[in-house]
Amino acid sequence: MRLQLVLVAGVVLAALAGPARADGELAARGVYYKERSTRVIQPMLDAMFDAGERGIVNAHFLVDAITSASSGSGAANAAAFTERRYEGGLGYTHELDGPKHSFVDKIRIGGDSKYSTESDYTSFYVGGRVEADVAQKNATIALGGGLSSDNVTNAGAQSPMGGPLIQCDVTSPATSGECSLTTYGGYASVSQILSKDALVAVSYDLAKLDGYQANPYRTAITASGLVPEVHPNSRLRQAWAASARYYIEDTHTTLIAAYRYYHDDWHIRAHTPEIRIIQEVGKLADASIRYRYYHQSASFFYLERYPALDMNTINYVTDDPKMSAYSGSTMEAKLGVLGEEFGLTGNWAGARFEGVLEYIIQHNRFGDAVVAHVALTLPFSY
Amino acid sequence: MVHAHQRENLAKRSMTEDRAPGELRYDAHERGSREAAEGGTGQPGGGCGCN
Repeated sequence: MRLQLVLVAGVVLAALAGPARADGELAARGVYYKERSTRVIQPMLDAMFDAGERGIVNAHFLVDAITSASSGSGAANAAAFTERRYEGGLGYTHELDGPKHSFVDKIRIGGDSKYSTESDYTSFYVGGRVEADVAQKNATIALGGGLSSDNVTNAGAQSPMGGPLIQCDVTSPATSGECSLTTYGGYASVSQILSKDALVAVSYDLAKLDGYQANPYRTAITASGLVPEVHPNSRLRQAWAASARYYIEDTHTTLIAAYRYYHDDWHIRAHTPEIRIIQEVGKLADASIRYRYYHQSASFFYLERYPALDMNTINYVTDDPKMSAYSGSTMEAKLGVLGEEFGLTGNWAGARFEGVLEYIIQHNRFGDAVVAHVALTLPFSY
Repeated sequence: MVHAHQRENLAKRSMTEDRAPGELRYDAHERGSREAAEGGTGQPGGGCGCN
């Protein structure tokens, strides 16, 4: 709420200010997600504005209102619950001011932070990044890294007796009401202009997770009965991605193709190809379609039904659909229109109205889903 | 080498960021809660609350 007030105050100040010296953008978006047992409504605000001659500030605030059949995401049978998650983020990017044509003059540095809280989960992220435009701005190289500190509790349990004790460490018994998870991440990316109509980009992501990674409310079915989920405490995740964009001048059409390969040391491998086609409709509107395919293999410890467990060894068990092998597809249609198309003037002429409709096919227990967005982005000067 | 005056098409919204920050953030969050394969978006996640 405080961040919302700051954003509103910023817009009011912008409207009252004198001659334009800098630019900014304020965006409001609402998302609706519905699948068989879960519904999410997410309103969000994004702001971006110039700070001085070489700085850009961005901030966001959102609320996730989740209604689901179970606090154990994907669990087959439990009572419905509703909860809210609040997230705020702040970032800053600064273009360094070195001697003209020097390498320092090509560099941008930045930092981002994000905080998220809900009844049984909090997360704080902080990260930094460096970007450089090289080869007469025909290529951009970026490096970044960050640290995320999460805390999970059993506060969302649906029992009046309180939540189940959690096994934070797989080598110790379940004795705790809360556990932590620390994530160290880094990435590198390069984009390259190929011609006046084409560019490509590649990226690599690495993340190391240490801590509790199961769900405190979910249980797995074994021959010895229901037992709490136990996931390994450590996970190393890697993802490679490549994309290409090509603009067809004759038809004012943009073609975008992307592919991502993911693997981790839980033996999950995933392939994600995607294609987008964006068609300009006059000078003030664009329409696009997107198709995305996703396939993943199962984690090394996933079974539909587990045998009787040997209590003298560590038994990794899960009831998480995300740990199973499955595939899915996403089909999306999007329409964006500038305010000038509706006869609006001033800043509103440059406002962008956007609508997005998605249908997601998921060949797992989650089932198919529909997603709808409506958004308004308003540029301003101050 | 493509010079600055030749980059009119490359500067178009569809050739730079055709998806808004809020749309990308929601997409990454939704995938993180339904798919095991996060990453490839240029920034670590966090705060999913859907483990």
